[in-house]
Amino acid sequence: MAQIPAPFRPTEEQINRDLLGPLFKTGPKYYAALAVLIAVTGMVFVAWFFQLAYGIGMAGKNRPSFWGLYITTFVFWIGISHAGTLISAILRVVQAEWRRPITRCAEAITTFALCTGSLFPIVHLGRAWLFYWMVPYPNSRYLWPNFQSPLMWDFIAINTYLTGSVTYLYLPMIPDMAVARDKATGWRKKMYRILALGWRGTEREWLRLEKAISIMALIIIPVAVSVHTIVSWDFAMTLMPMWRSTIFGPYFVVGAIFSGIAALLIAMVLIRKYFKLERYLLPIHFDNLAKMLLAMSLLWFYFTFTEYLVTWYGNEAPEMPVFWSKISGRFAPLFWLMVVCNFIIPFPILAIRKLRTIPMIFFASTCILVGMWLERFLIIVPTLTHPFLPYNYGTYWPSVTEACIAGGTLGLFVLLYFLFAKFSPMISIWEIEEGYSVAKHSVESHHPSSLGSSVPGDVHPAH
Amino acid sequence: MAQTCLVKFTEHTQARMAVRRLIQEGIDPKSMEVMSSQPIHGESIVPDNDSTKLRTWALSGATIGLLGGFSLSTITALNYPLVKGGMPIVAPWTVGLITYETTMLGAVLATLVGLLVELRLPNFKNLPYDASVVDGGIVLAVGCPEASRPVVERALSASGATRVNWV
Repeated sequence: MAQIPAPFRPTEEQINRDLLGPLFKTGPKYYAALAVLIAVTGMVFVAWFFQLAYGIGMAGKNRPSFWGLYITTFVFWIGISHAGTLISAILRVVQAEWRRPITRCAEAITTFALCTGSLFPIVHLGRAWLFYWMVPYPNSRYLWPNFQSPLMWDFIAINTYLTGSVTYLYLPMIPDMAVARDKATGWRKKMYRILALGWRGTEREWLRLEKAISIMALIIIPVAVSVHTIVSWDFAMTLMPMWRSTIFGPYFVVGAIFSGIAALLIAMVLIRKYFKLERYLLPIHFDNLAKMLLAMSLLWFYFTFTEYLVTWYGNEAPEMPVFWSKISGRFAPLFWLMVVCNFIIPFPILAIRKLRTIPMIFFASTCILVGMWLERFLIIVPTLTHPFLPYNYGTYWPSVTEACIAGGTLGLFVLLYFLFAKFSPMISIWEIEEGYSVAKHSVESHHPSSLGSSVPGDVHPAH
Repeated sequence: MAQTCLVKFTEHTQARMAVRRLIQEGIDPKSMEVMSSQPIHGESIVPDNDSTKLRTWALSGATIGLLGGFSLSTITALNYPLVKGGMPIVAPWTVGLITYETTMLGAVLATLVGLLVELRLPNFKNLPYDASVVDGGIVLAVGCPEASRPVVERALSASGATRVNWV
């Protein structure tokens, strides 16, 4: 008979060693990957430099399609940013115990996706160096920015979300920075000493930190929802065919959470493998998130179906060319690829328990990211190339500069995430320790006799 | 001369017992601090440690943000009244949106500032600390006059302290 392995019950020392290990040990693979990422990111800035030097015409934007890959990728990254903070906040508010190994990975995604996404409105500007004109202060004629412009709403909403997300990421990191301070040597010790702010782990500090985190979790949920709703209003507040929709707000929020969870799952699979964190990121964490992803896939399909059905049934003259260009026209291959990537492939993988393995979840999540990028593209470009008056119809094809900048930001995002993973534990140390304590006390109080049990994971914080 | 002793425990119940005994012996609870690598749930070990005004901080920040956002979007529009897109000079939707976001921003920033003020962080002074805290130890720091040292040691040894250091 196969022997059941003993449950993993690490001591605090072991948890510190496991989770701080990747910070202090850096192998050649890391440097090789870093070099590739720096090269890809460098491509973004070289292409942007050419665009600044030779003009916005390098970006391939022309009548009637003034928004192309830049705004597509902007909406995509803002969507990705929804996973982290929103999911982490919801799981904290409902006190889901399995959240513990996930929250840090998720919150970091939000911060870096927002940093990456918020570059695009600046890149998209003809004279990017004047972007500070959006900052609310009066110019020499005492003229203030136009707050009635959705661009200003974006600016204020994204900055609020970024400030909230960075704060929400940093607060739970303070105790971990103190652990790193006590374990590190040399320049790292100095750096962690500053980042830990003098944290000592007193009862008074813990009580206030937990209170602050719970207040922040409550604040960040409505902010996250508002941000993507406001991004959707960039489109819905115009009078363009297939944009002026009352469900665009929730449709965008659902799509954002959908793509965000997919990005989180991909990040978790990679972190688990390359940082050897198999004992902390358990199959049950992937399974739970995959179920959430399945629910979001169904919701996304429902919203998409509703959006297209109502347009088709309405049969309005300006909308039908856009509709048919997606269903059976020029954009049809991309449209049907989107449906395959967002629903046809992920649905069975995520719905059938036997298929819901970590490699298959990784595959489904990758498909979803491709599908969601296509969804953003298909919202923007077909409408712009089919405005109200047929003689204004046009075509759109991205330029090399545009493709380099839009594609290269994937490298920028991964680079930021990669660097972060080298200076902060990607799993919250104190939350894991707290989880083990909570689980242990729960077992002790409910089943005193089961303490010596050998059922795997019986005191794991995930359960 | 006042001295501080650092006492290490393995369980928070021992620290709780030690604090209770020290209070019975007449040591001021304000001179005691319990340090741990994770939050200790339940009733606070050192009395009166759990009162916080962070909610008030957040609400105050939200109020300031609300007033700031409202003023920004209305006064600036009235300051230079241009009709834009056929909308009223002070458009309720715009004012609502900007006010909402600045309210939230105010609450976020005030919560952060409130936390730092209440905890007096950052603080890089050499306060009583034992690095074994991060490896799971529960450390009690007690500040007391030298005359009270025997009383403190007696109370601590009866509570299961594994290590007592005077600093």
